[in-house]
Amino acid sequence: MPSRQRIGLIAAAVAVAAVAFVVLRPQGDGEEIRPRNAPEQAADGSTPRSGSAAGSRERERKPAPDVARIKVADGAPVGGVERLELSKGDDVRFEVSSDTPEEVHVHGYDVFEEVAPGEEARFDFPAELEGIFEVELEGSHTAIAELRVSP
Amino acid sequence: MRARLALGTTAAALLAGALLPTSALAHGLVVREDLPIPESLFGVGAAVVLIVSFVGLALLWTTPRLEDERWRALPGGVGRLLGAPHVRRPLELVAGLVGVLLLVVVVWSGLAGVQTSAANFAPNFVYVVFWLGLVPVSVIFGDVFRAFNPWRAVGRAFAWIAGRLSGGGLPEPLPYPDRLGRWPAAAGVLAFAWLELVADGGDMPRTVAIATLVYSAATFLGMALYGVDAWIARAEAFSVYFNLFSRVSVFERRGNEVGVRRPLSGLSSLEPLPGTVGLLMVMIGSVSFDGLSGGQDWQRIVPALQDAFGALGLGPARTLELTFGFGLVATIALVTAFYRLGIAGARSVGGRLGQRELARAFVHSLVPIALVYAAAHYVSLLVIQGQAVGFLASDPLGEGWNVFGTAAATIDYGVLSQSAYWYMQVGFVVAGHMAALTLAHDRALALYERGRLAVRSQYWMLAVMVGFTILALWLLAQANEG
Repeated sequence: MPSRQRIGLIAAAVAVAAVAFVVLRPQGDGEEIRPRNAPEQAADGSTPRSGSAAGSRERERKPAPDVARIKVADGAPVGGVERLELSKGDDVRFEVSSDTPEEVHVHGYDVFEEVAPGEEARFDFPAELEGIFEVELEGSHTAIAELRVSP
Repeated sequence: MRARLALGTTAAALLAGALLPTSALAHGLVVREDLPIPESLFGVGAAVVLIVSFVGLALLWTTPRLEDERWRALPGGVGRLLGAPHVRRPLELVAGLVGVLLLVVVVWSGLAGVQTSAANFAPNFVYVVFWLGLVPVSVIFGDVFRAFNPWRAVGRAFAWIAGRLSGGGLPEPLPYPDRLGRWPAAAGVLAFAWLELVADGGDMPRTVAIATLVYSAATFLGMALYGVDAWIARAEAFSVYFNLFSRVSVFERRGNEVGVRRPLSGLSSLEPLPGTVGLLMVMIGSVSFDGLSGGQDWQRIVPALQDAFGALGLGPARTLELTFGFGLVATIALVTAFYRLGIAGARSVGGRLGQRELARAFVHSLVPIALVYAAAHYVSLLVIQGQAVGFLASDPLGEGWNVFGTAAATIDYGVLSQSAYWYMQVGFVVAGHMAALTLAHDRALALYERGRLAVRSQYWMLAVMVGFTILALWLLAQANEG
């Protein structure tokens, strides 16, 4: 290959890199790949935001939002499998009510709580493990929620 | 997909709960899933791939470098020691015995043990330690599975005993049909992927044990007909699968010496037998489908497919299997079509090679791509679920034994951070892309006498590689997005 062509290709590569960087530059979500430092986390005091996919991006502090409530009727979660999205270090807080007695299991964290009609299962533990974990009715193997802990 | 179905009636939700846990990849074993790679990392990965490709094209070397068989023995007599028959044979014997023992434990624990996939040795060993764990081992150390292969060990032992008893009067095996090539291996890998990703209850210990028995029977039959060596070299799915990856390794034994070769040169010497393209397409397509089936796009079309297949009246479990089976086959077909398209393009630049010859000539460059698809997709599962061997070794049946005193061991789900997996995933994909590009370019130089044709054919292969690599990144970005 003639050297002119070679230089041209390298120039094209650099141009592509520049364009790609501008187009794909992370807008705010770049922080998602950096672990946040712990002190900031503690001051934040955020609680699980449920359901909203954008939740992990809006980091503004809401005044103690409601604890996520998951209602199980006829052995299935009402309104579908809910997402509990939070960041590492947050408190995982949610409640499960059910019209039948069951055991609720948070996979990976291996937290178990009994639930029965009139007796809610209350969860409150720190989100230490990153990734996607299932919350399941242990008896019937039915998924009722999905715990998504981002770095 | 669960969320999707649960939106329907309570009955549909109940159905979803009852059916779906068994339909995703060996579901009982996947406790923790990766978060999708962030858009920013996707962008960086894609940009690096494009830059690497352009710079690669700009700095093209003009003579093939990987086609030579250069190899030198490990220094200091180590190579001679490791390869010496009186060292190698006993080692192979021990490895073969270990392989057979593990095969027996898999079948036994699968049949007799507790029928919970996560608490039983069989599914954990087959899907994680064996299928995923042997990939990095092969890439680093070479074709280790050949020594541990239980079917080969049994076949050789059987042949030796039968030879002794009959006084050398055994009939010669049938000649292995050339046209068969690696097709039996492709079929075997497809069957494994079906069991893993499609079959209802494919992660259940008993299912794994029965599948192992059926596969063993088929392998023994094949070896009996065509001879142990021929069947193992071309038809036995796992031998062929791990051998492909072992070609990335620098270590290779030649004669009675162990030595090192140029990185990637083991792939250039891959014989493009019939079925090799099919095998690679099954490998890339099945991992792609596993990523795809965790994402939103697939979940959007599942209900429609279920309706369509439901019209056959096979019941909900079979309908779901058919839906996923269709997805698997369709993904493999799409990947194949894409590769064929690139080959057709490369052919259009001229030269004397036909479509089929070209498809085979470049197939070895797809091995790094298949490798990084698997590596990026399953690294976290291997790192996390692989730890289960700790307690399962002591309690393979899940019945509360403590053979080695490790039954109390647990899995540390946080051993690596999500960011670490993300960087590994993108790193693997980019590295595989570079390796594939290198191999394809090197082959083009060897194929085309005129350098210009080689370069022009390379634009097409480059497009194929970039396409596969962007697909891999996209799959990682959308996995579990639903």
